[in-house]
Amino acid sequence: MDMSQYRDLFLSETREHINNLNQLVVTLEQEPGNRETIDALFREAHSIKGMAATMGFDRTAELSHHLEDMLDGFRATGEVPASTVDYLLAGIDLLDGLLDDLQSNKPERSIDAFMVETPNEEPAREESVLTAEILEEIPAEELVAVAVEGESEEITPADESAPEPEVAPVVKVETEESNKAETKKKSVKEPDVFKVLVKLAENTPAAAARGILVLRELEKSGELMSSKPDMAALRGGAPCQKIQAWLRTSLAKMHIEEALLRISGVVKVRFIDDRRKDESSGRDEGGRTIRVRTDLLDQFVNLTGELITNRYMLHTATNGRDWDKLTQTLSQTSRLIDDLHHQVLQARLMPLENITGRLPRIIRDLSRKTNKEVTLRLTGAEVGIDRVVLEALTDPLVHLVRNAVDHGIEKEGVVTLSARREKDLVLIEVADDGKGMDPEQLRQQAVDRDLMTPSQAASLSDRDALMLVCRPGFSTTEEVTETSGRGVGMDVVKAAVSNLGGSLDIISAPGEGSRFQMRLPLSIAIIKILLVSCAGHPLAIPLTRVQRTLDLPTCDIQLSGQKRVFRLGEEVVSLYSLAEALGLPEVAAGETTWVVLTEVQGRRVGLQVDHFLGQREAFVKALGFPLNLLVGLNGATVEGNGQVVFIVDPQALLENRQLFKND
Amino acid sequence: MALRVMVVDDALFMRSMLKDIFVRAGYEVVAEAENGEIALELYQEIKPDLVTMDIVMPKKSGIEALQEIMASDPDACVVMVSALGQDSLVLEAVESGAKDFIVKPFKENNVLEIVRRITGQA
Amino acid sequence: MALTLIFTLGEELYGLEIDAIQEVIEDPPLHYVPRAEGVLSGAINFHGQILAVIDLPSLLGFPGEERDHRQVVLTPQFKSLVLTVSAIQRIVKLDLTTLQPPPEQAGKSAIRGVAGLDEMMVNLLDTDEVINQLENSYAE
Repeated sequence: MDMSQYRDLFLSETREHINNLNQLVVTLEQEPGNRETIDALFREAHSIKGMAATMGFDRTAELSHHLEDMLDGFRATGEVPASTVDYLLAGIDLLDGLLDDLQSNKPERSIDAFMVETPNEEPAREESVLTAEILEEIPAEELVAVAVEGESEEITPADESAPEPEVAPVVKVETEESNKAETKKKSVKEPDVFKVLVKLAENTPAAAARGILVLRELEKSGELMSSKPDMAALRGGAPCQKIQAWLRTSLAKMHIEEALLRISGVVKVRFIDDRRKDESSGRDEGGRTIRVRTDLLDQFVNLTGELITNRYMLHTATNGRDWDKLTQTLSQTSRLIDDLHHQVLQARLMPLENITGRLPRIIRDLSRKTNKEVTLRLTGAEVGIDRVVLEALTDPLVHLVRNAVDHGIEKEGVVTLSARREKDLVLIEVADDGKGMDPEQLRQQAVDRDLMTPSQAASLSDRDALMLVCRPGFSTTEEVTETSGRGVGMDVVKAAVSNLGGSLDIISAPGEGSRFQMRLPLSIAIIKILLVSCAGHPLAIPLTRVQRTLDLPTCDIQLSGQKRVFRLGEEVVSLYSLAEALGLPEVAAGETTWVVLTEVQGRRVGLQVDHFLGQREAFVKALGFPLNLLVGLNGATVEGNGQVVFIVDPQALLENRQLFKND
Repeated sequence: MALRVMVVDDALFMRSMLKDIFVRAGYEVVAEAENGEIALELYQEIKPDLVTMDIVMPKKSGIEALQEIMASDPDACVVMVSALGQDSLVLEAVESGAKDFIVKPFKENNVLEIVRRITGQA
Repeated sequence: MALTLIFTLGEELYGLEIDAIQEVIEDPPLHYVPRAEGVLSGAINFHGQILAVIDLPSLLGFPGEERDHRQVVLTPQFKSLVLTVSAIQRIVKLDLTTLQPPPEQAGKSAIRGVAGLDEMMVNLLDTDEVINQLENSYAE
């Protein structure tokens, strides 16, 4: 039986089980004797084992079997010793790593080192902190590599009656021989994707057969993703002087080159790094699956049926030139389409809890490491968000939570993650009840770092001062902690939110905790845009990027340091020209200058356009090569008349012009 | 241990030439066959490390012999020996599992390079 | 024998296998692409897909202003690029099994091989190389 069709399902389900395992272990740590939790853990491991064995993923099956056995033992005693928690977690991490391998079509990594290890019986406090730290920082595959390094240590087989006072080899080797660990890390590097060009000698006899040998050699070196000519073409005897192949491999290019050059007839091998590997590698690859409830599917079918009926009614009305009937049916059709649109969006929504699952585990590891007592509260985890948005949020969310523990909370406190719908947006907030942030201190710091002059800093509102932490390289803690120098990651968080067409706000005051609020569109396939014209071309700006629009009397625009500025209440706002940013000829403004107020690097700026053409909802079409390489283009949309309108991101356009370089 | 080679070709001339090349390189030529049928029998009996196989031979062609050898021993190491202009036959052979091919007329070095590559010997 | 579209780039004769072509379209409305310059002459709406139009003579450095009003849409395998050429001529049957290697490739050429057509030589367009060069021109 061909199992490959079940592979995606296996992967997504097993990830869910792993998520559950992580959460259950953390729960268990708080109540070691909770029977139900132990039973639940056992069942999760058991499910993974069954699925993996069916799929023929031997190591995944073996490891989950091992964990299942261990948990079964705990079911008998009714208790999980605190000292085995780290071991369990390391096992879960290793399972996760195995899934990564399977997902990227690599052989499953070795689990031997883990299998021969024993859980620590009585680790000293300090050492266990160290374990947590390592688990946190090093992906499981490197843990394994390091542990193999430590095999010269005597390895005690699993035996409950023989306590193992020593720290597990993993920890010891990592601390004492970090150099070796470093070397190991390199040898197990993530696979790279690149293009290989292989040239055969002129007039090579049976070149197609030669080409097949080249492809076979490439297949031995890694995953041959595609090639030109491909295997089928070569079998058909295609001419073959040059072969281009896309290869995903962890082998060094040198080795591959050597092997290829040994093939008779191969005269030249060249490598081209893949700029597109972000799209084609890792977890994002291939056909994504999503589970849709059957009742939702039924509604699709019903709506489609109604639309079909509607089509006939439209035909009839048109043929009979019955305008009343036509108008009536048209409005019915548009209602049905709205309905369908709504339902389709529903189908793409996934609850936030899909990505919050690993947060309890992260908080637990972080609290142990920083010696703080941190409680995580989750509310609104059931709120649905478009899956694309959800995936892009995973890392920013982890970052905000880490920041809250690292910088917000001092000794003990609560980190609250909440989500709720706000019209067609979702608000996700990460709040802590820690020491809060001081706008004054941030202003001072901006001046100290030469990011702005004292008078510029003084003119920042408190809100804008807080946003300074989102500037690249800005940090508010004197000593940058190893988990998260605040500011190191906030620019990334801000960028991720912006890329999704969302916005980030920070609310904080000394002694009052901090709240990081992300407002995100429910769906990014359909967005609201502002249409403007610029040197005669229509362009779209996502409405999420527009604070407001202004029609400014041209005489209100002044020059300040050779830059155009205008007053907005108390604030002095710089004015840039969209035409100039796009390299288009400027159209001289008449009495009124049309301005889009937007934000670039946390600062309010005005963007001059020729005219406003209105707001609307637009279906965003993704851009293909090479349009996707142009900076500042987010997509395109097609107007009713067929006109293609590109969606521009003012921030990226202006940043790319380096308008902010010297101020 | 020296590499054990079987040379299959209906022409004694070719067999001798290949044999000399292998002997000079320090390999042991453990068998010779003049058609596919004999080659198949000898292969089952001797299990050589490497076979060089002519394509056009009486009784059983090199490709048929190759296919049967591969069916009985998927790890078999067979190198085809073809003449110029037999591209489609070479293709068929490679698809049937031949590890590489040598095109006549060949040079000694050429043959040895190919053998070293596929046997993984330096 | 492979069906091949014959066209010119500047003074040179080029060929592209029909298999690599999705459609030849006539004068589609060309839409403005912000920031596009040089070889990217705009975008078209091709059955709802937004495709980039590449000016092949400029990309490959051919002089001359002549452009055919028709454009060649490549298959998705070649990123559905839309190519403008100097002049589209006709479709012929070419024997691609006896391709001669192109002259030592200097600079920007994108030729996979040279085939004979009557008394003429046809350069077969190397579409992968076209994509390569586009990638390179947007690399920075």
